[in-house]
Amino acid sequence: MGEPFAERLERLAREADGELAATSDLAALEAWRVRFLGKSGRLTEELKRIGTLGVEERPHAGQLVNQIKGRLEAAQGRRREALAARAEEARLVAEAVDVTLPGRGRGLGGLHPLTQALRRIEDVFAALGFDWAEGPEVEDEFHNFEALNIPAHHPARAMHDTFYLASGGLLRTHTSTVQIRFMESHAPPFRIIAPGRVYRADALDPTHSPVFHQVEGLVVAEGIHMGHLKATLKEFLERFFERSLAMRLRPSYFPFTEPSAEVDIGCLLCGGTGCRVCKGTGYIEVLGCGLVHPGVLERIGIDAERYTGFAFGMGVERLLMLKDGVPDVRLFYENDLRFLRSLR
Amino acid sequence: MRIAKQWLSDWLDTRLPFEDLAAVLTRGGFEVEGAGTTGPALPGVVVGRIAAITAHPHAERLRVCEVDCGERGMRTVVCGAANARVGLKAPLALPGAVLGGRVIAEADLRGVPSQGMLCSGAELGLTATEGLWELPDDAPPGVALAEYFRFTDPYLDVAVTPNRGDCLSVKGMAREIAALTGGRFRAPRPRGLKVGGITPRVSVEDKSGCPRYCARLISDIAPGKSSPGWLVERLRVCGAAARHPVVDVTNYILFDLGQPLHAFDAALVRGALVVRGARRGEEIALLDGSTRRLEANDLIIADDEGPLAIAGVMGGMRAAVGPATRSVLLEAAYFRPDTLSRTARRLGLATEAALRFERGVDPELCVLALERATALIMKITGGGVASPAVDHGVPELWPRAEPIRLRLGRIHRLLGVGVPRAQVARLLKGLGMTVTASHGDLLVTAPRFRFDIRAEVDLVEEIARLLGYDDIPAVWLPQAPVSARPRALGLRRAADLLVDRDYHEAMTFSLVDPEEQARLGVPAQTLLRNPLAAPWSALRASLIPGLLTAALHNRRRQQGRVRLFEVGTCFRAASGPGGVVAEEPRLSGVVLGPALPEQWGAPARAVDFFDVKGDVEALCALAGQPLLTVTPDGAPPFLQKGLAAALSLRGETIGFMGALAPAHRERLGFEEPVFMFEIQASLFAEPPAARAQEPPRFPSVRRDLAVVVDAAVPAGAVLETVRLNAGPLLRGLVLFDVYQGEGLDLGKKSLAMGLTLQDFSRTLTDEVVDGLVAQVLAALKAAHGADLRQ
Repeated sequence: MGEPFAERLERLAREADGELAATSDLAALEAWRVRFLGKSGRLTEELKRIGTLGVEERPHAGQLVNQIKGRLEAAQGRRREALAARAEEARLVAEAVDVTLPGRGRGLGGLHPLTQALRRIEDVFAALGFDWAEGPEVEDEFHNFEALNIPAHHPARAMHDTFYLASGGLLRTHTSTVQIRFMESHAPPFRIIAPGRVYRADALDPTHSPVFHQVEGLVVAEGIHMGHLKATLKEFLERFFERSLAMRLRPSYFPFTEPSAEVDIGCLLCGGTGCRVCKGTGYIEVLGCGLVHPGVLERIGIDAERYTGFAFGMGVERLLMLKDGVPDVRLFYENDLRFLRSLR
Repeated sequence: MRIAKQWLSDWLDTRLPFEDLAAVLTRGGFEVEGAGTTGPALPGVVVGRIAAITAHPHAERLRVCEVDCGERGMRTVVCGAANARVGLKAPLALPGAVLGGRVIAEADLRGVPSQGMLCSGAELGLTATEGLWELPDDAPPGVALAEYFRFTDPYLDVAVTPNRGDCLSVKGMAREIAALTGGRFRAPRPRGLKVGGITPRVSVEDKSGCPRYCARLISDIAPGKSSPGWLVERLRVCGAAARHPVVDVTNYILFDLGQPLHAFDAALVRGALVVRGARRGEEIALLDGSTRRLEANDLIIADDEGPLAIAGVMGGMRAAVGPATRSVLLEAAYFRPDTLSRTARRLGLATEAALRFERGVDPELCVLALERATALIMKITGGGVASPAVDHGVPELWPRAEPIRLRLGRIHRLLGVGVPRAQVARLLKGLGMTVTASHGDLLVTAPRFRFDIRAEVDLVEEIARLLGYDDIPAVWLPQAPVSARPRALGLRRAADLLVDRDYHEAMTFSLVDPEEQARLGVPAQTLLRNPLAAPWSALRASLIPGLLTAALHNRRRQQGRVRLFEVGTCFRAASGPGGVVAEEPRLSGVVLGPALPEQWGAPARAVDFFDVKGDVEALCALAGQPLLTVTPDGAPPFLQKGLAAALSLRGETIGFMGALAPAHRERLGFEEPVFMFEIQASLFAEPPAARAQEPPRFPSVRRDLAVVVDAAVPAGAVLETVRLNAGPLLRGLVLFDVYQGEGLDLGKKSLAMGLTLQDFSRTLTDEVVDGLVAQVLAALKAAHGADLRQ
């Protein structure tokens, strides 16, 4: 009968172990299983052969076959796990990318620095309860001058180098025109700001531009006084420049406010010790303001005995030049992308 | 106004150190724009007098001067200046002096040793004149130049606001500083003047334009005199050059007292002086060398032959004072500010005299100014005869200072802080005002020279100014009576959307070149009457020209990819004279270069029409405008045919988009295609009100159709036919493929569309869907000859 049963089984088991170790993927493992453990696999064949053995040998042989079957099945399970892990590993390697490569897609643009400044101003005043108003850029003498106490031959007209249109009318020299336009159609109390473009026949140089932006403010109600003006402007300036500031009001002159004042803040560069920016004074001028002249109110039909108010006007370019260190007003209108990106 | 310390002390007695004056003036409403000393110390530069001149032995152009240096002895100086002559006094830089960084040393000049250098004003950095600086006769040889001229006097440059004409003189500033500091103002005392001779004949025709005219004749003026050093220097401090003693004195009185004066050479005046309105068309040759044509109502001083001067603005050449002048007619007048201002402004003559008359000069100043000028002229020229003065005055026409009622309560209401009655009275009296009590209020009369004090509020301002704005406490506004929201939220969102889509916002001038606008086909222009320059002489009708300029600026500076947008006002020209210029906000963009930033993961591709159209569609979706239609017709002429479209909404044009036509591209210097769009920004002003929609509970059905049509059939028309015929169940329509080529007949294209159908109240059956699809196909066949692609 040749080789004893037990030895044959042992050889079969060794052979199976060897081939199992050689399987390289799950398909090979399956082929191995069919070859050794399948319905007509070699171990199953051995099981069938037990019937040909002697009666006394059978229990031992059956035990032996089952023992080996169990061992091979366990080995197969371990092998399956190892192969699955290896396959997973291979997939991850295959799908891996260089995460240090730059991202894909379009870039990000930016708002113009002046738009950012205007939004900031508008938001601060909205928070302080100011509505907004606007008016035309092409204006008439009345709204730009006469209604603001600047009759035809007033010396203050020399402060406004005005552009006139060939077809009649002029380009507004300040947003104070919106004070008049607003009051013509609204009764007090109100508080508004009016942002917009204004025009002066000034040659273009590092600090002057024939086209620039102003924001006008106007508050008219009962009981408004100089103290309200001071508190409002201080609050605005500190929010705009994002720091606490020394602020002072200097007497000045505008035909449509009385008393009038220029507003200075402590120099942003030197903090008040004196430098090139503040010309050694420690202060820089940021805006003009005053109480609304009773003549302005009365001309529009507002009772100047009952209502008082304050107004202010600021140059947006100038504020931004101070805030962000923009050295030349022309940069705002050149639209060089390298400049625009720097203040994105 | 430049205020120098020495000069100020003529008028002001104060214990305030000059260094503290700037702060006082600033608090008082006078901005200090600069400070310095009137001139350099110039060590080693002295007054020299040329005592003798001999020819240079070896140089034709040089001469050898013996220069008298007073106590410092005689110096031999080689000099090449043409005006060197015996008796001339000029600055002499001694060896060791430093001029413009150069050390003056004893030097051998072509064989002759030179012990210093005779100087021009320019070499000292003081005046621009060429040749040796001819110093006044009274300059003492040997004395340091800076000492003689008091160069080390400190000064302040003070800005005087247009309402304070009374401070446009040293005297006026001194009076104001006295009020601000409590110092003593030395009011001028008129001195008696010996007069004789004939009173000149003067008549005033226009009394309203000239409510006071004073004049006198000064005759027998000695020739060849020059103004003394102190006067020359004071004029230089004010930026004026010395010319002739008479002219120098009139200029000096203007700066010192604030009264403009004028002097005519009496020998050149024909007949009597008359102050009258000009006759239309009369001409005058002015001292600035120009000839001006006058209009009726320009106020002039004339003689029998015609205009001699434009009153209070500028004198004429015909009777100008010069070296030959032996007698002068000296004028001191009060001219009405508005008349004079109109003339000065029309002629563009912003003279020192006009500046003061426009702002108001006290009519009472005429006599004082005339007396002082006369005395000074006679002193400098050493003689002369002054005639009695003519004084034509109509005091009723002078500006009158009316009493103003001042309520203490009003001060409190405007300043937010009460000021005691006694303090108010004291402050106002300090300004020279008279204050009396009246029914619990104060009655205040301002001095005549305060042209700016007209109403109660003007007095309140004076009190605030004298108290100091710093002392007014800051008070919060009461809680806002209105609900406020920031401006134009919809436009903000539109701008943000473009920023997120990789655009940078630009801001360009609203002033543009009308020729460029014409080249781009703008039919009617809004032109400026007084432009600064031709490229800024029209208002923009579109944002496109400005954006193209900005794009070109960047393209020329190595920026290969430019995506710019702008939101701004455009102007539509008035339809006729007196018509209204329409203002319209627009939103525009200009794009060129690669569609995406340079990157490794996407193929490089130039931007095209549909990239920009995608941006425009996104904007319009934001505005809640799904009905935007884009048609190839009606686009502006500067766009490339076939790459241009008009954008419209419910039949109304709202803008355009497309590529810049090649001819314009080449003309402007763009090397690549440039795409652009322009939309009315009013679309975004009010964001549409949103309405919530519940997600549908029944499933949708998608059907894809590919139809073959002639290549010329616009896709938009095909989609529109689908939309119109699929009925209300069509929830979505997408065009996902356009194909031409193999498998299709020549001249045909295939359009593949996906239709999403959904009924919100039931599940759609195949029957219904098939019916709709058949209906759509039939309509496509009928409208476009479309066949289902096999």
